[in-house]
Formats: sequence, structure tokens, C-alpha cells
Amino acid sequence: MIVLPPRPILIALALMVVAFALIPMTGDKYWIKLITRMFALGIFAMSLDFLVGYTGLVSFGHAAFFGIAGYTLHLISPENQAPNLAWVLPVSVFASAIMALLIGALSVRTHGIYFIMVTLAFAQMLFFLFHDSNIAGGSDGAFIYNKPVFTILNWTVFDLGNRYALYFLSLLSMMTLYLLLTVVLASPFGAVIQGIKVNEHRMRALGYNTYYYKLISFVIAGAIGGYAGFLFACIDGFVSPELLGWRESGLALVMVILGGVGTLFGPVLGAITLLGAEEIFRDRSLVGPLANYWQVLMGVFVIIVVLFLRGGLGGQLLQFVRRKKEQGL
Amino acid sequence: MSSLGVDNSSPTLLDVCNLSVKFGGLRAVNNVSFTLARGQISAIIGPNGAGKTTLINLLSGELTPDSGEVCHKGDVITGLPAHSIAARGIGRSYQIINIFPEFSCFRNCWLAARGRYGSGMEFFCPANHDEKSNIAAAESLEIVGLLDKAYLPASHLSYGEQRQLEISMLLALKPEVLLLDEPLAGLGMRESSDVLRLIKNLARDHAILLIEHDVEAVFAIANELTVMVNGEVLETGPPDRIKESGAVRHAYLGNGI
Repeated sequence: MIVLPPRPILIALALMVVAFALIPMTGDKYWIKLITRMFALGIFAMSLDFLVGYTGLVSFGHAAFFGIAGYTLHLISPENQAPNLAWVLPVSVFASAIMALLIGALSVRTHGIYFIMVTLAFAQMLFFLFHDSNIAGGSDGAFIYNKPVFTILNWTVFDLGNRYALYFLSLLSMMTLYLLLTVVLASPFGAVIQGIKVNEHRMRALGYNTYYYKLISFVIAGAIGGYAGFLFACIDGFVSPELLGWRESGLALVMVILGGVGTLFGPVLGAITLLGAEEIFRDRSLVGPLANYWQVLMGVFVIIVVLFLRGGLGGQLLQFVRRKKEQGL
Repeated sequence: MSSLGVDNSSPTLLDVCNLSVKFGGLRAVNNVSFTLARGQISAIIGPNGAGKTTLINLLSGELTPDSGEVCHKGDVITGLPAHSIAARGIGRSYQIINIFPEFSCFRNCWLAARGRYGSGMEFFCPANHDEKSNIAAAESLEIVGLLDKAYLPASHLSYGEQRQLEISMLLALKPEVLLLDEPLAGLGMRESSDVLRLIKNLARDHAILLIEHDVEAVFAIANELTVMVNGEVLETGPPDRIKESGAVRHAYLGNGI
């Protein structure tokens, strides 16, 4: 099973990473924050693509895991002291994984539209749990006053309060998680879940207990979604119930579809494109008074991409490279 | 010299006892009993709607019977899920082609072999390093003559070849019991005789349950015939006796025989 894209695309992605590595040299606070957000949401979209594009499970509640990790970070952080990344990150990701195990154990039994509805319902339950209770400030949300620092034996390696540190940690995480997922997708487990996506019934007749494979896939996606949520919560140092809501889940699906379902690198491009487009459409100097209606412009933009770029950005890139290769031969 | 034919001392692999299932008011399968031993080709014939495919679905775990019992080597397997039954070495093929069209032929068979030789719960080692499954997949493709198309997507194969791939996947699963649901459906003359020869060869060390509409083919290779109608067994016996049974001929075999 070929999971890594062809070489020209890999080279283009590598160049993109180099460009991203150079951007902080401009020192522009706004850009650094925006791009860090692109990285975190890129990871989030990638984790959802693992479910949607490779396991065939369309989840409409993926934000649950995104938000749970952020809330966990808030709840376990001491008030007057910066926590050590070495334990708050694993604990937050673990919390998301456990939540994915619980939600997955019940929802993975269902199929198609029912799966979409069940995952949505679970995520909304969590949304209202945080929205209507006093946990972490209820509907107002809560601040994470001290962002995590990474220390080894009293030596502070980096401090996520520093925007450069957070930027590079996010970039590095995105690359590492991308490679990790490609490795998993090329493994026997990856072959089995892709088989389940194509023909689950047949996989069962071949002796696979598809329930457990889907559940594990759901937990992997939930844990990585949690990792993304952890980074995202560190950017603004703020968590609110909206992180768990259906809008966030829907946004992730839009990123996956925009970027290309089942391409893994595509959804990252989808996240970058979507946030980039939002910046452009909100900019008065670029779109004039239309900036007041930026959400309409976003809608038109997404519709155009989905209608005319079949397979999303990633799918188009793959097609383009394939066509060039055929012409070259 | 001992004969290679049906060995009477061979153990019964599948023992089906009074199997019944109802769909609403319809008795789809009613009180069906038979045994299946290694070296045996047992064929089921009967008109459409007789409950033949339902019977296979009951045996493969895709449906749960309302009553009755299925034993595999002395263990009761009634009600086990399909994946457990497949893992015990009871494999089935489908009347409607049921493959992974976007995967290569090799990958189709690899998934079958892997299901038999190991689980898919391995996360970091590349799938193509699993020599055992690779070899089993290649062997099963060779048996049906698809080895030279191993890396073509299954959707690029002709209809006949897709049927062969279906059987090849079944072989990669290395089952002892083969449940074949109309393996000849839609095949041309030459392809049909290839598949029939293959089934005959497999019968040496497998127990085979065959559902087939091609009556002539069935009479040529089966050791035992069961005639089903409206979910019930009308008659069971060696092909010669079934052939002579006038009622069966008249009702189900038409006038051609």
C-alpha cells in the first residue's frame, strides 16, 4: 500500500516546511501565531483523515478529543507555576485517548449516517457538560495562565510561553505525526483498516474482528486529535466549550474535504488554505467592503474548491503528478 | 495402494443438525441436516429462493439460525460471529463478486492470508515484510493462474478473472472447509471447466460444499447431492440416485437431463 506521496510532492512539501522554518525570522507576531494555529489544526485535520479517509469512519464529533486535551491541560496545570511539558502533554493526550476509547466503544458499532449522528451526539454532550457546569469557567471558558515548559532536571529546554518555541514544536510535531501515521498505514494494521474501509463485510469473512480494528483506529485518531488540541490551547492560553462543539468538528471535516480525503498530507494543506483564505477575506485592503461578509466569501470559496477540484487539493496534486509522469514516459 | 478417493475413515469436519431460520413468516431454511467430510464435494441444488445461499450464510456466521446446531470438529459453532468462523478454517466465496476492487490482486490475497497467519494488530513493521503471508498470497494467485496480474488493481480484471480472484482469496485463507456459492456464475465454458478442475483438485484435502445452478457440472464432480426446495431438503444421496429420482427431475432439473 503506497502511503507516501510521489517524490515531486514530497519535495514540494519539504520546501514548504523549509519556508515555514524561515518565517519566524521576520519576527512578525501575528504571522507566527496564525501559522502556529495552521499547524495545530493541520494535525487535527490529519488525525480526522486517518479515520475518514483510511478507516472509512466519518466522525462528526472529532472536536471532542481536541477539546478534552485542552481542558485537561487547564485542569491539571497548577495555578502559580508552569507545569512540565514532559508530563502534562502525555496526560492530556492520554485523556483524549481514554475519551476516544469510551465514545468509540459505543459508536464504532454503528455505520454510516448513524455513526455520524452518534459521534456528534457524544461530542455535544461533552460540549454541554463544560458549557453548563462550573468546570473551568463554564460557558466563559478559562485561561491557562502558565504555559507548559519543558525541563529536564531543573534545566529549562524551552518554554511554550515563548511563541518561537511553540511555533517550532508545532511544526516538528506535525512532521513527526505525519511520518508516524504513514508508518502505521503501511503496517499490517494499516492494510487491515484500509481493507475495512473498502469492504468491511469481506474483511469479517476473512477472519478479522473489524470492531477492534475500527476502535483502535478511532483511539489513535482521538489521541492525535488531542495532541492537536493541546497545542491549540497553548497558542491562546485559553480553553472554552467551543473547542468541543460541532462547529469545530465540522471545520475539521471541511479541512479534510478541501485538502483531499485519504491523502494525509492534503488535510494539512486544507487547514493552511482555510485559515489563509479567512485572513484574505477579512482583510479590508484586499476585498474592500466585502470583508464585512467574509463568511459568505469563505462559503463561496469552499463550494468552488469542492466543485471544481475533485479529490481536494491533495487529490488534484496527486493527479497532476501522475499525468506529468505519464506524459514523460 | 490406497485409493485417493473418498476416504471413509476421514473425520467429519462439519456436522449440521436441524438448522432452521425464519425471515418473518418465511421459513428460509427448515430443518436442514447433513455432514461434510474431508475429500467430499457435497452439492446443493434447487430453484431460486430454495434457501441455498441462506444456508451458506448460516454456516459462515453471517446469519444466526433460530434453531439447530452446526458443529465443526466436534465444537458447536452455532451463533459464532463470521470472523471467528473464518478464523477456524471455514471459508466461503460469494455469489456476487465480493473483493477489494481498488486493491491489487496481491493485496486482496495478502489480506486473506494475513487473517489466517497473524492478526493485523502490528503497527510499525511494514506489511510487505510479512514473508509468510506474501508467499501464501502468491501461491494462491498461482493456483488460479493470476500470478502475472498480481499487481493490477482487482477492478481492472475481467469478470471471469474476478471470480478466480475470489477463489484465490478463499485459498489464501487456507480453510479446511470451503463453502462455494455459485462459483461458476457468469463464467464462460473454458473458465468454467478451469474452475471445476480446480474444485475437484481441492476436494482431495478439503471438505467442499458447493451451490451451483449448472446441473451438469454438479453431477460431474459431486459425491453427494442435496435437493432443496422452499427451505427444506427434498432428497439427499449420490448423484446417480438423484438422477433417477423422477420427482426431483421433473420439479427442478427441467427436461434437459
